[in-house]
Amino acid sequence: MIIDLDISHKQDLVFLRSQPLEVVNEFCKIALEFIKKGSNKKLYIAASQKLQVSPDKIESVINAISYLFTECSRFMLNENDFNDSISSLKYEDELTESLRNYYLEYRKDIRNVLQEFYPQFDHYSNLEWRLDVQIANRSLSDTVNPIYLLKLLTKNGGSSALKEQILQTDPNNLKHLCNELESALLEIRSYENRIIMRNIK
Amino acid sequence: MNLNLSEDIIKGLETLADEKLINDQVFNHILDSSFKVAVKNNLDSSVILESAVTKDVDAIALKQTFSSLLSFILETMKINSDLNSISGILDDHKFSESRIENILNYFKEHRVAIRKVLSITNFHFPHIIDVNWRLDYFMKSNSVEKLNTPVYLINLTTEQEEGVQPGKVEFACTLDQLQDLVYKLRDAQKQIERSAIKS
Repeated sequence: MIIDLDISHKQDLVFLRSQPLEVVNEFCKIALEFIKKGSNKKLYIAASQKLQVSPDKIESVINAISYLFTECSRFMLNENDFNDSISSLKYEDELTESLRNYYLEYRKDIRNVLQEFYPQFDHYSNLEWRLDVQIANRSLSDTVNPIYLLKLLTKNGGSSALKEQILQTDPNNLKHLCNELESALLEIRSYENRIIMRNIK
Repeated sequence: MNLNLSEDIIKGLETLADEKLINDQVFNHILDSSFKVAVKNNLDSSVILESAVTKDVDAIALKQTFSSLLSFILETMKINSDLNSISGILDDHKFSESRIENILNYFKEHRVAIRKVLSITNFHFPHIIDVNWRLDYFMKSNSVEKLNTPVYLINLTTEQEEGVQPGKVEFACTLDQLQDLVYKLRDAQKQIERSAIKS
């Protein structure tokens, strides 16, 4: 498949044709920053003074490159599809290659950023446990009651802070928990599930 | 471990032992109600205070004997006193032999149940009592396509206190994360077997 660029994006991307490779690389770098952190007006003004064009033009070029990269990453375009997508811009081979290398190098990063936009659950991050034996409490002495304290650490999204939950359980329930989760692990290796996963493209 | 009874409780027990003040019918009623309260079968005090059996007994004496007997039951069960020492204490406080035997029968019958109630009369962290899981194959979202990765959704059922609605802890795992989780839980679970072998 190829990505359809609309006319305004094409016009902005044509601008790159007249620029030396170092400048194009600089644009790619700024576009990646844009994808990761949002726009940075200061960078646009600095670039506009250097290249003698208006900051608005710089900004729209950055937007166009960001659009190109995110859409290609979104659909996991391979090298050929990427080339085909920008072929209408009639770039020199060198320029196409430089953009493509940049895209392939940072595709994984961009996809990670994109993944933050879908509805996320708390994700497992770590588990710490300790085994206590309760030997008395206010209303009862002379007892032996093993208790596992579990600290479950979860995380929502890539950048957010860890969430801590203190839970407890007893040996019987822990065994049950282990057995159930182990059967969950086995399920993924079952023949039927492997067929399903192989056939989803 | 020594039984720790206040003067008020001892006085109440001695009132209970007095056959002139508390006749056998009232005694049996107080005894039965106290054990019912102790095993949390019946927490309504009106049963003991407003019953037809006890209407001729002085209300203050009734409350005193009832609370003393209940404290006595809980304190002896707290330290898990055996029947001999219980009977010794009752004997010291002038209970007749038939009444002592009657009380001991109740202890025999309800010891385990009372200690169970005492063991859960406490605070604790949410206690995991069950787990539910679901395996999804995450294909695409509005922002990314071709993700094609398995995702586990884990749902732990927890219990805070007896009778309170169970809580839920939900989180997602990738395959690697679940493997890590199971490895750690298994290790924890094995630990108790290792400790048992050592001791």
